Amino acid sequence: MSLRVGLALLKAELDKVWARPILEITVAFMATMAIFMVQPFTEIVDHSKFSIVFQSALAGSVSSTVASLLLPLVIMCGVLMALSFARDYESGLMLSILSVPVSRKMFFAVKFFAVVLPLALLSWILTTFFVGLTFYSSPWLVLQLSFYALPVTFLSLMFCGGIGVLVALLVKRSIPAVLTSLLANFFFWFLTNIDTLSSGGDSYANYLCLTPYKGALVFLNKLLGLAPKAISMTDTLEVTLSAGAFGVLAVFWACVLVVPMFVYFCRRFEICE
Amino acid sequence: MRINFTRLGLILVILGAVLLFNVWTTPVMQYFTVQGMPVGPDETFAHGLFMAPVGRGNIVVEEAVLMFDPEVGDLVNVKFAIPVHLVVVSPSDIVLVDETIVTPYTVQVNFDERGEYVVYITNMADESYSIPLSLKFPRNGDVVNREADKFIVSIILTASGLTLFCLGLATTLFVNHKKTGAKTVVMSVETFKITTMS
Repeated sequence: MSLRVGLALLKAELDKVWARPILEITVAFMATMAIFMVQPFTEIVDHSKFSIVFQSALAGSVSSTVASLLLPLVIMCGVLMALSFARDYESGLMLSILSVPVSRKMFFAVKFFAVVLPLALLSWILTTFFVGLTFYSSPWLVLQLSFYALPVTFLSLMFCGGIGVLVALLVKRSIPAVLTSLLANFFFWFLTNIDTLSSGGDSYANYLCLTPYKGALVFLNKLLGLAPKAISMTDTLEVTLSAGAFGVLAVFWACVLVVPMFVYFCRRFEICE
Repeated sequence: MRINFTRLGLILVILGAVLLFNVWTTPVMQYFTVQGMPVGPDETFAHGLFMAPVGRGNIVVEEAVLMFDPEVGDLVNVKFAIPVHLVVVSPSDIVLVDETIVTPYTVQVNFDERGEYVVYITNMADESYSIPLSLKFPRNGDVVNREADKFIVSIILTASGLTLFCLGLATTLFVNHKKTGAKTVVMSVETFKITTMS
């Protein structure tokens, strides 16, 4: 019974969040950003090393496509999450739904995953599509490498959604919540553009690879087996820390806001003003 | 999330249009070159060319290079015209070129499929040389080498998207018209009943 109610609620939430033209705008935004990474790929290599170079180029293409998709993902996730919570609170829909036998836990989980899951899936589908366009001669390798994009994107979106929920539950008004969430996520995304390798191990910029989105992208690169470009700086954290360490970091960032927000929403949050 | 024909069509049109724009505006780079390792007499060196289907291009086997130590005691590159045997094999294992040539030599190849084109160069001279290989595309303003497969995919996406979009619109209009028609009939029957009763 509870599962059936949850599924019905999820279906209604998906209909509401991804109503026309939100899905179309998201696809257009993501496709436009990802297409810049789809360049004609031409290489002359030693025939005996061809498979290694090919795999490296494919992994590089997956990494750059995910990195380019991060901006639209972060913007859409922040906006939709803040809007989803704040609008329901503002319009009184949250109060109405929770007055029927729907638990707060289920309500929170449904609202959260109605935004995060489609975005993660969309990101994976577009990554596979655009990478596959260039490297379709090895479809299994494309599927295998682009699959790494799914958990990394999901964990990044968890953090992004956490910011959206935090802002929405604090501000409680649609437009200010959307704008604040947008700015906060944009700030964290901006840090991904700073080169943390060339700064050296003793610089402050060295620690920026531990920030949420930059850490997730480094995690993806390590999963794909991509070596850092500036190999001379071997003392930087991005080089010295292992893939496992960045994986733990990504899980930490994913949970750091979502878990407290979940507990706060279920136990403390006042739905009636 | 309800995905009907109209929405699916619109999404496909968006993807196709973005891809079409990208393919149209990014031709392949015009010049690639690689120095190659020293190849001994009667030895063969194989280069792998990963190519997109971009149309006609020129494979250039450059002049062979020999590291020479002259009397001054410094190493210099000296270029030689040497005989080599050139074989070019397409990704589908079709031999496109198989001839003995003298460097430098240019051969035109039609790159009509995506994948690895293998270029085998056999040194037929008496000494060991490194034989550079280049790939050149025409610089004429009217010749643009674009990726044909992506172009076709973008056209297919756009066309199928437009078809689905129109189909969805037509279905919606038809269903709405039917509903309106049914409502009118029901209303007419009710009006008739009320009129008869009164």
